[in-house]
Amino acid sequence: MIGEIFNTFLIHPITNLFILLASVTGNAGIGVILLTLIIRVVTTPLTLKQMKSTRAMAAMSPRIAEIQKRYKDPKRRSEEQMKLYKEAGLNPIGCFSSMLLQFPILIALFQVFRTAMGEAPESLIKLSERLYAWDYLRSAVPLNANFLWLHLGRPDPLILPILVAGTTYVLQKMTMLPATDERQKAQNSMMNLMMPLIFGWITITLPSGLGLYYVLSNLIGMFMQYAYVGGGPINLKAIVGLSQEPVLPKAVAARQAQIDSMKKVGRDGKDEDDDSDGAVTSSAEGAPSESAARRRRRYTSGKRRGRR
Amino acid sequence: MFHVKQQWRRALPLLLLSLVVLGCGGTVGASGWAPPVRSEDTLLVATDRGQLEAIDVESGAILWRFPDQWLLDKSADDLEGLYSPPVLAPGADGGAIYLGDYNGRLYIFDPADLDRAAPAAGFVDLGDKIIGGLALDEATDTLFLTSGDRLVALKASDLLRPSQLPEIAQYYRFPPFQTTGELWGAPVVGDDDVFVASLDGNLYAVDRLTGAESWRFKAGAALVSAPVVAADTVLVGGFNSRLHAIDVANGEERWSFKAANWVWSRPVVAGGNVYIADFDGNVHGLSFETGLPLWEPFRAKGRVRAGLALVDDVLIVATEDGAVYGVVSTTGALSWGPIDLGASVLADVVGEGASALIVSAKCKDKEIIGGKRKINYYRIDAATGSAEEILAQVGC
Repeated sequence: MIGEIFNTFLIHPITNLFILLASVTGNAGIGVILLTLIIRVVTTPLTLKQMKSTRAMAAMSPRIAEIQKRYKDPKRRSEEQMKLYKEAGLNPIGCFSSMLLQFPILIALFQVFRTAMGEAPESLIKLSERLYAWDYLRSAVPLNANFLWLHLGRPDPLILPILVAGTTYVLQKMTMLPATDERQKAQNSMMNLMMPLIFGWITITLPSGLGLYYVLSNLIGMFMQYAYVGGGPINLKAIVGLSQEPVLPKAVAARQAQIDSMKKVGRDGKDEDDDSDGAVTSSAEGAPSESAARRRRRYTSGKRRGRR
Repeated sequence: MFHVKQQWRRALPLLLLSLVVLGCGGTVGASGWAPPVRSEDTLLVATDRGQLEAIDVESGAILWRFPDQWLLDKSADDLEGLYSPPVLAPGADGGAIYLGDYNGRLYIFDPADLDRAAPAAGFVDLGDKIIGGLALDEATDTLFLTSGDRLVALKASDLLRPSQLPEIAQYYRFPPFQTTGELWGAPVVGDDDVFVASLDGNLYAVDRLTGAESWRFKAGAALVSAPVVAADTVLVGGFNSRLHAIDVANGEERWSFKAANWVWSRPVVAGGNVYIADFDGNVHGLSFETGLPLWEPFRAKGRVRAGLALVDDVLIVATEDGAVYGVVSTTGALSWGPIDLGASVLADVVGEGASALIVSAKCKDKEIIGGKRKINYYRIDAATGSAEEILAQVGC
């Protein structure tokens, strides 16, 4: 059932779109490039939402750290953190919304490329199940899968994995801000290395069309990240690990503005906490209080100020 | 509760990565779909594991299996994807066999060698996959075969040496004929030319003695079916969903027939008619002279890649899903079926006497006294449609 939905709404449309693009342009590589652009444009609202969530989460990290320090009981700590997110109008999973969508797309693209550019004749039999009943598409296959040094249906064992790992690393570096505590710093360092290595390693075994998609997608992600932060200089030393400063210095200023706005929320919260035996409960149990709504308004207006 | 969510957040990227790895598993491998070949009392059946098995027609017993029982260089003892049937070299002692595989190697071996202590097989590496297949021109002692996008002509007799044959160039009858697309249909030898269909959308006529191009017919889409020569016409089908009838003398199109989907199965010519099946499962009967339909198409449920067999006015049609139909060739009406083999059929159906032989790409379990055995080889009675399952463990 799930497989059928996945096929009907993702794999089949992408397959036909890809063959159309590759056929019109006469080259499967250009088809992959255009397909990447289309997918990135379609998923832009989610990507922007993720960027906003990530920035807001980063701004809240001092307050999270404060809660973690204050409460030893994990259950209570979780409750307090949830309250904080709720008041800020944030969904912690929102940081992963784009990533959550990215993975089904990656799996779908793998299925598309392995059948549309597969070398064995059997791949075309599989492909025929997915083609819409349109003569233009049916007569467009098999595609010319040669592009630059690549055969897009075969894995590239060297250059593409390096490009995938490299662009993933740079994109992560651009996205991540300096950690506020040691534990987070260690986690960031591990993720910064692990993710590119894993992606690079996976690319060695996958059709290079998928690797090409991922490299282009990362490049577009870098551009979007740069534009979202608001431009400014790029700290190249930080990319290669020669500097502990962030890759996009402007991102730090943006985060600081947001932290400042969060501090206001925190101060209000603290006043209320003092009234309730020193606990960091910012609102009463049950329905959100008037003060919580006031704080959310203040927080969101702070977000807007921060962006400006 | 949220501490659990936090851990979840940390683990999410790795979890999703694992999903990608799982989702991206599996490949569309080259299993091959060579049809069975009858040689006296022996049936040669290619398996989806890159083996060629000889089966006794009467008992169903396996007589030998290539390459398992031959001495072969380690670099070449793992065959993959046998798409074309083996070709028998009738002049040789004991009947040597030529066999090409997806790895691009041409093997030459002789079953008579199995009487010796160390039966050896020879091979030559053509450097690109053999999908279309082989055709022996006995008159000129030339073995034509497809390798990637080339048509190769080799001196057939010179290849009959049971050892490794390292230098392919010394066996060339003429330099390979180059096309711009892979060759997935078997070459067919005509009176003056060899015909070969290419994924570049052209049907090429190549002089069988010199290798010079006589003419080419441009279809506009990949040509995939093996061409069939009948009288002065060559028939070929392709991904433009058409069957083309081409004049063998000059390459001009006589007529073309538009089907509903790809025409990948080999056409059958008999009694002044042409029979083809398309990838939507339609079976068409056409006039050989005009290409006009003789009857409303018969609709089988499933894609048809396997070539049809005509046995006593009954067309045997096998779909990719493993459904087999008997269709009356004069009317297009259903004679019997469908019989569900329960396994995919991609190899051409082969007529043999009053029966048709079908090899399925996958095996199915058969309950027999004392346990289970695997089956993927069937003999179908053309008159009644009764299927006899041959209990040989072919390719299972």
